Parts: sequence; structure tokens; C-alpha cells
Amino acid sequence: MEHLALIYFGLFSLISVVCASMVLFARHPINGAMALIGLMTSLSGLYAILHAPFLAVLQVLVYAGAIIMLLVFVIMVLGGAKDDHTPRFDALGLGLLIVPAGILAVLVHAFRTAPLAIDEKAVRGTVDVTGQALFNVSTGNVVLFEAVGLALLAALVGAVLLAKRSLDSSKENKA
Amino acid sequence: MNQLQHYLWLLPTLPLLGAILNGTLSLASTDSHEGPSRGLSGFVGTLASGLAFALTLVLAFSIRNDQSLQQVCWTWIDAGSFKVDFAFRFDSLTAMMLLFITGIGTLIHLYSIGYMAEDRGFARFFSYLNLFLASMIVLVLGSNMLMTFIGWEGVGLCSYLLIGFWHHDTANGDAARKAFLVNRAGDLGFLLGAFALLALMGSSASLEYTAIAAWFRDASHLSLYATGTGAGLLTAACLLIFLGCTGKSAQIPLLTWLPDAMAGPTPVSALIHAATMVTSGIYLLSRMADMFVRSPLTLSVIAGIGIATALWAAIAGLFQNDIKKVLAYSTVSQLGYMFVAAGIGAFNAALFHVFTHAFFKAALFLGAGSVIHAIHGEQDMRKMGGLWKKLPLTFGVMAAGWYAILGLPFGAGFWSKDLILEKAFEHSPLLYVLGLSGAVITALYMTRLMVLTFFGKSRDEHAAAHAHEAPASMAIPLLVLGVGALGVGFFWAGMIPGLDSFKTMLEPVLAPAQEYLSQGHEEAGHGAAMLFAAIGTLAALIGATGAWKIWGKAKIEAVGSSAPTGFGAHWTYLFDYVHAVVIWPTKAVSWVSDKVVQTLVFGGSIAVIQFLFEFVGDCVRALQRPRLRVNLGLSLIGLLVVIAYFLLGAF
Amino acid sequence: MSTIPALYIQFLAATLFCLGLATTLTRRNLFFLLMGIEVMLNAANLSFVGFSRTFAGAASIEGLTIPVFVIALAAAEACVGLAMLILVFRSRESVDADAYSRMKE
Repeated sequence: MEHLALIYFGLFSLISVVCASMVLFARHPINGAMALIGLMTSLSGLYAILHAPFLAVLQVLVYAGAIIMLLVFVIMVLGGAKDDHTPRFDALGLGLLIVPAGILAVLVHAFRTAPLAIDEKAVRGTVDVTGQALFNVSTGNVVLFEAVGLALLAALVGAVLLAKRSLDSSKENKA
Repeated sequence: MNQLQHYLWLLPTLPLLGAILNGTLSLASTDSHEGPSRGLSGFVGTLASGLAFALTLVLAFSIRNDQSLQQVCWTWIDAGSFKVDFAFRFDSLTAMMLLFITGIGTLIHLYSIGYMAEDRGFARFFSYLNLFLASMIVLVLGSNMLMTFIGWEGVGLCSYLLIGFWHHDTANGDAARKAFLVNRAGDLGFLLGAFALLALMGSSASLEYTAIAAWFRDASHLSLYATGTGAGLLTAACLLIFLGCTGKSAQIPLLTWLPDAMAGPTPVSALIHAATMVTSGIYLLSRMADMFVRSPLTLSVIAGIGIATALWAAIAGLFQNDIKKVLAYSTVSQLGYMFVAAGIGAFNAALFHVFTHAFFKAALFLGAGSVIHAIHGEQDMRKMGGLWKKLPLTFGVMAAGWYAILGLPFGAGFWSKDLILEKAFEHSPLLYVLGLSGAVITALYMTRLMVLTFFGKSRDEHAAAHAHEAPASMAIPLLVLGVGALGVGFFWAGMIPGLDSFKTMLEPVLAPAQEYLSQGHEEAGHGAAMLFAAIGTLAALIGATGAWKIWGKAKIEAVGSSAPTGFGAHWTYLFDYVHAVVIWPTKAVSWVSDKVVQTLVFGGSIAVIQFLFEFVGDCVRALQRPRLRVNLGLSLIGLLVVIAYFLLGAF
Repeated sequence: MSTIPALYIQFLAATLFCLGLATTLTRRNLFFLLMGIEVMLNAANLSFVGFSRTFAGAASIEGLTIPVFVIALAAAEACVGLAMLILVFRSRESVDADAYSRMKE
């Protein structure tokens, strides 16, 4: 059982890559959203293995639970496959693949030179430890935390306004 | 006396204030139909001028002839060893000039109240007139060449403004522009001459008149300008400055503007083109007398041009039918005499003629203005006649002016003109003969003017019937000037006790220069003076009788415009033809500059730059595709490049 | 249990990132555009977590706090992005990215 972590790692990484590929090749947006959920969950597992239990739970709660749900909701409301006749991939898209390829190449090269030794004394990211770090006044994280809260509030208000206006204006336009 | 110099700045400022006030009045009344208040505007204008005259009187009588008041307002240019101040200087020459400038100026302001009463632009006229007076005062009061140049330019500007005063008629605008541009050509000479002088003076270069005079009087500097490049520079400086003088004082070759300047209102012609502005050339020559006497070539040129102009203009005066044009050519001719006097080194005689000429020419112009005002704008002499009964006062004044200009005994011109002729004889008999012939022709055309205007039967009954004498505001200046035309000559004779003879008044200023020139010569005695006077009077009488005989009984038909025709036209416009020829290269150069340089070089280079910018812009624009994903992709490629640059280390 | 080499995590994160980028750039459907962005953000989170253990001692917690912020901001971004998609959908009635190439209408 000494390589259990590696086995789990291999399993989760395989699932996540497969899910990401499914997002890339999916036909219907709903298929893509489901693949996305798979990705989120497998990543959550990865976080758990990597000594970040709080983050793992947070990932499932917020990402897989809230964001994907929102995405699915919008897909359902708008009818995501309106343009079924558009091809999934065209010449331009294939041409643009050079960008991810380039970035991958650069990143790989960078990793080979980065110091990647694991420290024995590294902290395990439990709830209390992470909470202490997040609300740390001396490093200023608490300010960031509160600011992110404000950003969320702003996004909420903005989203409401954006979507609301369109509904009202469409009513007035047809009147 | 020590305190008075602090008030020198008031002299130009008072008329300037009047100009500003009148300008404000003019602007404030743009919407009203009748225009500004005549009384207020005229009062302000005349008061400003009168105050300047009063101050001049105070200053003039508080200094002795050899003293001078100097006020430095501030330092203007301070560049190493070259320093120019904004400064005024009041010495006896200034006093003499300013007395008649402000005096006659005030009289003409008063005259203009009556003359321009019905004109809509009344306040504007007084504003310009005051501005002119201020500029002229600065010209005369300036203590260095740069200050004089300010005034020089200022009077040129005001001349332009006032000649083209009735600007709705474009012909007036053309005349104004011609005056300004011809003057400008002279100004170029002034500036270049000043530069040449500075180059000559070398390390002790200064534009202050006292410094220049001292530099030339210093015998140790003789070697600097006696031979070689120094002499060349001196001659160049003198000739160039003289060119400026010809522009301002309407001598050959820059005289074509003065007859055209008669398009302006008559008070303008009287003040600017008879009494004051045109005398600035003589003033400048006298101020820089020490320089000019040391360049014999220039003096000969001045005298030559002076006599040529005097004769040419006198003959041209015979061909004119417009009363103001006759007086204009007469002015040019008399100015020629002044330059003759300057050219032979008799600067005090020249200035004396300036002084007397101001009075009698102004009297003649204002009288002509009164005639024109009386017969409602008619200026063609062929349509006048028999007016002496209708306009007795005007006739009297003009007769006094006629008497003076002819040089008949004891009139103003008698003393000054005969003095010039006398000095001319001492210099060269040929010059004297020419001058005398000029006097004959002067008598001819002036008597012709008087005969055609005032005597005989009226050739235009309608105009004559409604002729009325001038109102009081015009009559008073006329009277004063008429008396002056007869009386001011006595200032030279020294017969009025307590009043310094003109000559001794100017002596401290002009003596060094004149003595330099007349080393060894002696003045002719008084007996000889009487002989010259007698010959001069005889010449004038010959001319007068000749004119009476020719035009007294002649039948004149007024056909066509008053412009001369035939040979007269060719003679009159002789220098206009010369100018057209001289201007031709300038026009050619400007055509080349327009078509070749402007269009090809500048336009071409701009077109090239424009093309480059458009090309680069189009290239950049090509990158901005409307398709969303292309934009995204391109920006990410850029990001990729940046990341690669930093991650893989700087290349 | 032996630990997972940090390099493998980073390779995985890089792969996921590029897959997400490919999704964003290549697909014409706007929903996939947004989904690709989510994938990319997740990959970035993974990379942070992977690096956190290479830091010394207490500093290693930084690698775990930043993903919290990223998740929160991803939520905000998804929210606003979807709201804009709804808004824009109203005028075009299409989820094709190329239909939005002409900004004017």
C-alpha cells in the first residue's frame, strides 16, 4: 500500500483529463456541463490527497455545487443547442490550437527548471489552519477576504441588473 | 528740473489713454445707429492731445538748450555687452519736434470734431488719431533707435488704419495697403542699417543716440570707418537707414504711396502726410547726423535724391486735378528740399523747413478740407471756381499758406526755403539753380491751385450755391495755422525778444555734426542773404504770374475722372512703373515658392508622411478582425510571447 | 504512503490548462467558451495546491488560501458572464460566437 497515493493520483488525474477532453469534444452544452462536474469532483479528490482537505470540500460545495448549477440553469433556460448546425470545429479553430500548444511547451520547459522539492514541514490545510491563514491580519489576507466578498456582492448586483434590464427592455420593445 | 524727467512717460501715455478710451467708446456704440457721442469722443481725444501739448510746453521751457531729460523705464534687452533700454530722452531737438507735433496735432483734433461730425466711425477715427499721436511721440521721444523704431512702426500702422478709414470702398483699402507695404520696404532698410551700424561699432555697440554720437565724435575711432570694411559698413548703414527715411518721407524710390494716401480723410492728410509722419525721416537723419556727416557718399546721394524728388514732384503737381493730390505732390516736393538741406549738412535748416512746412502745409490741407466740406465732397478743381466770395475765411487761410509756400517776403517759407537755397549755393551752384527752378514750378502749381479753386467763374453752379463757411471747430484751427504760416518764420530770425532763435535752440544737438562738415567754410554774410531772398522772391513771382496768365482765364472742362491723362499720367505714375518692374522678381520668387516649394516639397513630404501613417494604420487595423475568436486568439498569442520571454529568461 | 512528486501535479495542471484553453478558443458555442474558462481556473488552482507543499513550513499555507479567492472570483465571473450571455442572447437569438462578430448590432 505504499503507492496508494500514486494510485489515487493516477486515477483522479485520468478522470480529470478525460472529463476535460469531453468538455472539448461535447456536442450539447449539457454534456459539457456534466463533464465539467466530473472534472471538479476529481480535482476535489486530488486536493484531498494533496493535504488540502478544506479546499477539497470547498471545491465541491462552491464549484461543483453552485457554479455548475448556475451554468446548467442558464443552458436550460436559453436552450443551449440553438445552433446545432454550426460545426464543432472549423479551420480557424484548428489554427488557433497553436496557442495552447505553445503555452504547453513553455510551461513544460519552465517546470524542468523550477525547484520542486517537497518540504517535510509543510502544513496540512485543515479548516482551522486555513481559517487562521485567511483571517490573518498581519499578512493582510483578511482585507483580501473581505474584498472578495465585496466583489461577489458587486457581481451579484451586476448580474441582476444585466439580466433584469434585458427582460424589461424586451417587453417594452415588443409593446 | 530734476523731477521733471520722471514725467516723460506721460507724454506718449496720455494720447494712448485717449486712444483706448475712444476705442472703447467706438466698440460700445457698435449697435447704435447714430454712433458714439460726438461731444464725449471728441472731447476725450482733443483733451488727450492737448494735455500732451501742455506737458510738452512745460518740459520745453524748463530745460536749457544744452540740457536733456532722460527717463529709463526698464531694461529691455540685456545680452552681454549689448543693452537696450525702454527709455525716453527729451532734449532741444525733441522739444522742437514735439512742440509742433502735439500743437498741430491738437489743432487737427479740434478740426476733426467738425469735419468728421457726420461720420459714423467718429470715435474710431479719434482712437486712431490718438494712437498715431502716441506713436509719433514715442518716435521722437525715444532715446535709442529701437524706441524710434517702435514709433516708426506705430505711425506706419496708424497711417494704414487712417488711410483706409472709409473701408467700405476697397480702393481706400488698396491705398492703405500700398502705403503700408511701401513703408515696410523702408523699414527693412532701417533695420538692416541698424544692424550694419552695430557691426561697425563692434564691441561698443549700442543703439542709444548719445552713445552713437559719442562713438563717432571720438577721433580715435576714425581709423575704424575711414577705410576698408569699416567704410563699407558705414556707407551701407547710412544708405540703408536713408532708404528707411525715403519710405517714411516719400522720396524716390519709395514715394508712390503718398499721393494714394489722399484717399483718407483730410485731417489725416494734414496731420500725418504733411506735418508729422513724413518728417520722421528728416528727424532720424538729424538725430544720427554725426554718423551721416562722416559718409560723404551718402550725403551726396541724399542731396541728389532730394533735389530729384523735389523737381519731379513739382512737375507732377502741375498735372493733377484733384486738390488734395496737388498738395500731396507739393508735400513730396518740399520734403525733397528738406533732404537737400540734410544732404549738404545743413540739418538745422532742414529742421527749420520741417517746422515751417508743418504749419503752412497743415493750413493748406485743412483749408482744402474746408473747401471740400463746403461743396459736399467735391475734390476736382476743375469743378470749382469763384469760391473766394463764399468762403472768405478759408480763402484767407489758404492764401496765407500759399504766400508761405511760395517763399514770398516774411512768410514762413521765406525764411526756411531761402535759407536752404542759400546753403545750397554755398555747397554747389548747380544745386542752387535746380532748387530755384523747383521754386518757380512750386509757385506755378500752387497759384494754379488757388486760381482754379477760388477765382474766376464757378464751373459748378450747384455746388457753389450751397457752399457754406466752416463751423467754429474747424475755423479756429484754420485761423491759428494761418497765422502760424505767416508768423513762425520769425523764430529763425531771432527778432522776437526772449525767444531763442531756432538755430541756437538746436545748436547743442546738431553743432558737432555740422561743424565737422563745414571745417574751414565760412557762412555768407547777411548782405548775401538779402540777395538770395530777393532772387527767391523773384522766382516765386515769375511762377505766380505765369500761372495766373495760363489758368486765370482758361476754359476748363471737367471730363472724366480727376486723374491725369496722357503725358501727365505717365509722369505721375513713373515710379509706379518702376515699382512694377522691381517687384517682378519678387513675384517670380513667390510664384516659385508657391508652386515648387509649397506644393511639391512641403505638400509632397506631407503626402508621404500621410501615406506612411495610413499604411501603418491599415496594417494594424488588419489585425483587428471582427471575429471574436480571432481577437481572443491573437491576444493570447501576445500573452504567450510575453510569458515565454519572462519564463525562458531574457534573450 | 509515498508522496506524489510535485512535477506530476504540475504536468497535470498544465495539461488541463491547455485543454481548457483549446476549448475556449476552438469551440463556436458560447457556453463552451465559458466552460473552458472554468477548466482553466481549476487547472490554476491545482497548480497552486501542487506548489504549496514545496514551500517551507508555515508559508506553505499560502498555496491553499489563494485557491479560496480564485474559487470565489470564479463564481463571480461565472455569474456576470452568464448574465451577459443572457443579455446578449436576447438580441441575437444565437449562441454562436461568430454571430457576435459585428459589435454594432
